[in-house]
Amino acid sequence: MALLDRRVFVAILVAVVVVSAIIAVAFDLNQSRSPPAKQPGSFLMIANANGFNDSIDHGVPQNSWPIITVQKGTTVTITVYNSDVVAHGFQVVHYFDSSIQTIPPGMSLKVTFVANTTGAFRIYCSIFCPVHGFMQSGELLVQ
Amino acid sequence: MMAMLGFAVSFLAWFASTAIPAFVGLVIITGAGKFVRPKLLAAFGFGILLWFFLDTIGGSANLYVNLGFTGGLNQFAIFALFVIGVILLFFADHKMFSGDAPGESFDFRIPLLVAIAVGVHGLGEGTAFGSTAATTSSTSILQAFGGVSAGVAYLLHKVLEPMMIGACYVVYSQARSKKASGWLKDLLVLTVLFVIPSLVGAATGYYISYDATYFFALGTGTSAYAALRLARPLFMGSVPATSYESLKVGLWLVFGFTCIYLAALFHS
Repeated sequence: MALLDRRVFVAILVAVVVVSAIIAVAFDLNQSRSPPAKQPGSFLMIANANGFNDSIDHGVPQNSWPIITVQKGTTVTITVYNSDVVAHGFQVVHYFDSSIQTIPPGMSLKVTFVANTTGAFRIYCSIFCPVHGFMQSGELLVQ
Repeated sequence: MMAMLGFAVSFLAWFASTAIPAFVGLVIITGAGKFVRPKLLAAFGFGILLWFFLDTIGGSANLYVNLGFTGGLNQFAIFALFVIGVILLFFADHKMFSGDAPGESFDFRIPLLVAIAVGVHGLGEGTAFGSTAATTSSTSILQAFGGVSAGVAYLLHKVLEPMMIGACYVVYSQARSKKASGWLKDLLVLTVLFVIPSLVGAATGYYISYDATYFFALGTGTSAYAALRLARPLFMGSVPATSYESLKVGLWLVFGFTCIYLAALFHS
């Protein structure tokens, strides 16, 4: 204990207790969450360790996935459910990128906008996370 | 779901990709301490911290601020953990706001506490890693974590983040950092403290599915300690206050920020 005096020892002890409590509570809360039901006419995206809607199985980042195709003028509703253990971000270039939106684990984000500009717009996760790479290649195609 | 990546392989990979770069980062920054003034290294570390704070608070879903007043108990717990993170380390370091000048009466305890402060966020990262390893549909560890580019980004981050600790070591443990014999041993201790939370997170996250944002909230709070410890030497020193000195400190801060910003570019 030459380097760590009693005060530091107490602090570390408190930290261990706090972290243990967090694990217990977080584990319990995580068990009771379930994804939202898909609404007719809307898009449901599940964010997890495999990306957005299992991007990893669809050749990202070389390929775009998921791809949402809509006609110009359509009111687009996207519900993003985060079933992962870490927070994820969700942005759509041009349509939904004016602020950083983060979705805590087990929670959903509902995004609605009118697709009034044609083109291809990237859908991506806006925060740094280990599976972030799979969440950079979504695409909104407005025709 | 059946794990697609084995525990031993993924855990060892996580350990190696976290501990080795961390040690290298500490060696680089403390080695640089032989040529660069401690104050400038602190500015460099503070530049890294600016980005680190953004990363960590992002991992906590910005302390659930997007939920407004509707977050309930979860939101309260997240914010409470941020507060605990701040208070815990301020309490542990009772010399925090004393009038002593850095490097005079301080000891190895400060870099140790900074290592804890910076390392706590590793609990969240490790949890994410463990969970991903256990649930990924990929059979390649590199692919499971976003490919080569994302891997490079992670390694660079793990070189840079401990530099905040190393800068504090150079500033606050000047007598120790100049000794050739104990120097590497100290860095090893700092590396272990920095890495342990990450390994705990990876091991538990592999087997138990739980919400890692709580750990990031705690890490956001503890990073406040690192911020103040890195900021303090910027306002002290024997060099006269001139515009040139301010410019130099500013440039070193920008340098640190730019390094971690470039590392993050690999991740996008």
